[in-house]
Amino acid sequence: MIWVNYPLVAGIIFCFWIAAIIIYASSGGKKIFNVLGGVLTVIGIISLMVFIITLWNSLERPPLRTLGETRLWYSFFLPLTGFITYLRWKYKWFLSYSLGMAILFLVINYFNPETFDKTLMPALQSPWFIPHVIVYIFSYALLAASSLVAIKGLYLVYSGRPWFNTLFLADNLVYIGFAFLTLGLLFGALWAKAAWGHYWTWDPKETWAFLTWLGYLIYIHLRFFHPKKIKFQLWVLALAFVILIICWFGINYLPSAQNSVHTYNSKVN
Amino acid sequence: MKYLKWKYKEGFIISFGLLLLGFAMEFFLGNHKIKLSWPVNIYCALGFISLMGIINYYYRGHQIVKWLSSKYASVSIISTFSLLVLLIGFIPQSGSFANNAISRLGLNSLTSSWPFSIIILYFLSVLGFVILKKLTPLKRKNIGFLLNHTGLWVIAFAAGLGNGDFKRLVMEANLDNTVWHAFDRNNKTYEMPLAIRLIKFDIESYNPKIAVIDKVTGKISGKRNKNVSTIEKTKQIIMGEFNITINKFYKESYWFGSLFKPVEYTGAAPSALISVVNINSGDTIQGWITSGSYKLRAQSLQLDENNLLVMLSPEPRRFSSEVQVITKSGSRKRAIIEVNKPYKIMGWNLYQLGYNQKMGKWSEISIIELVRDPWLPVVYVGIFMLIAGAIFMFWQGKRILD
Ligand code: HEM
Repeated sequence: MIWVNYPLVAGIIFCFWIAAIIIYASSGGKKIFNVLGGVLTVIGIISLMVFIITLWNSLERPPLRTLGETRLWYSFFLPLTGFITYLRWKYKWFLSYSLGMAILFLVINYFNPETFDKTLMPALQSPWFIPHVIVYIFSYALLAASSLVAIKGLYLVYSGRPWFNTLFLADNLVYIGFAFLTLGLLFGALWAKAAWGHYWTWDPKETWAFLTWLGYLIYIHLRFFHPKKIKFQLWVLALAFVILIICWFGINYLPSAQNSVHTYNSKVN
Repeated sequence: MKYLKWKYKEGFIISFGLLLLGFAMEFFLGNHKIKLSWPVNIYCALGFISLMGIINYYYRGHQIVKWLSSKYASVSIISTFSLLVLLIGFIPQSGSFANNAISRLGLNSLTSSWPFSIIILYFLSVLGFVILKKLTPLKRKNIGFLLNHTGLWVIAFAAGLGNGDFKRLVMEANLDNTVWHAFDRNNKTYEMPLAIRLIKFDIESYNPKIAVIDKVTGKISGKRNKNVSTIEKTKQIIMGEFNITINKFYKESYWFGSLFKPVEYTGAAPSALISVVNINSGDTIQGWITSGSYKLRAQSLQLDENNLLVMLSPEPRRFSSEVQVITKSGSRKRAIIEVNKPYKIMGWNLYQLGYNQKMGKWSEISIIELVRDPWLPVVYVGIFMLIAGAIFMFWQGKRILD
């Protein structure tokens, strides 16, 4: 059983990624440190990939069945996406954030070995499951960050301090986050086609995910059309996150959600 | 040529006007029930596209055409459309036609209502002119823009026009007969060009879980994650003060008066011979437990005054139907249909939808969903354009404007 090796592998990756986070936090812009952090991140990602491949081989099926196996993929894809984002956009804090999330999943897997045998219902056993969830986690993280930045921007604008860079950061986070949001929506549609027969059924969860998407779509266009109306747009951006939260947490309480295929919690033993 | 001085006010007047017009039509004319199907929809598609092309070619300088691709038209229609989606998000879309205000206005079946269709049509026109404006002359820096906007346009266009060709039917395959007919949601029967016969339906399950539950409430005692465990190869499990040993475990077995034996009868259930030592008192109990089936009663083990050890019904890992698919031309094919793995034949996708839940694994019927969506490839073209557009957007980010 390959899981026997998990504490060792996870322990090594854990040390590498923690070291990477510390190095990024204290690099102070020195190039050599950034490279070192990158190398540690990548070694961790590769080690985890090797572990997953070996596990796959030994199980003779894709390791997608249990929650524990699913978490391995989170721990793999989060730093990978974070690192690509870093290569392109140089957001160190964001890479550290995704490393932190990945470490969290590694640790949960270490302390909850009993969840390795948790079950995964057939509809969730799809190759789209992992990418769908990963890009959504990512986009929510970026959009949440953009709203925080917007609040900071509001503070700067109202107190008459320079805000340009803050606003540029917020916009960029929205653009990247919105790109991931679009991907999440589309992967969901492709998955739904395979699992439920149609790519779009106006199921409440889909409808609210779509509304979130429309909210940010309107923001992007308003921002593009009226680059000078700063205050108004910062407010819109701070509020857009409210829809996102409703979509994420509030969906089960809506009257329209009674027969959503996505509220699995009715099936508790 | 002079430029139309319409701004947001006029934009919202137009799009809200169209929305109200739609609701008025819904109220007075009823649900339109128009489903453009082949070949009418392809004529409409070609007609709409050529019309847009012609207008763009001959009248692109016209003030109305210019206005239709303006920011005012764009923002007002996206907002109005979002409002409509907000209604869909709040009002349950049951689609029943009781005679109250909600259904008279089509509010519970919005996606097939007049207001929805009219708004989509206007939306496609505005977005269409936005795209055409950027399309000529074609510039490299507009590729991301074009992928995003055209992708969305193609999806909305194809999904809307393909709606009438979209078929979703249900067939009840069984072990005894070859079934040639299917039903739609309103129980209307259709003669099909293909037939299905069930060879075997099966549910593969995970090993069941055992749990310590409270005798009175029936809920899991204490901490949920400590007092439930899947039966695995490990034989010893400690739950609270109970040291549980699994002496025997059968995935499929039947009760023979005093013990379980592994058999594959219909109605067989998982069972386990368990001995439990109470760590505090040293008492030992032994007995069989089973989750039961439609033929067998569940059995549990009394641990003390308050607690029972039970076996939970195994959770399904895989539903599958082995079927024979027969076509009018006489070809016969064997196929396995699983959740998430539809079987494709003659433009139909066959999905595993249901079974007789009372009989579970031994169900003698399997409910198969048949879906046909000839416009799907076009929608996929749009989806992949949009995916490419999203990647562009990620890579390009927000360009700084002066
Ligand atoms: C997939 C959905 C959409 C995405 C991702 C998107 C994205 C964008 C972006 C990033 C821009 C900035 C232009 C640039 O950077 O080149 C833009 C501009 C624009 N968008 Fe969209 N948009 C979408 C849907 C729509 C819709 C539905 C409409 C109208 C009904 C629309 C109308 C416009 C217009 C008019 C512009 C300005 C073009 C110009 O004058 O340069 N967009 N869009």
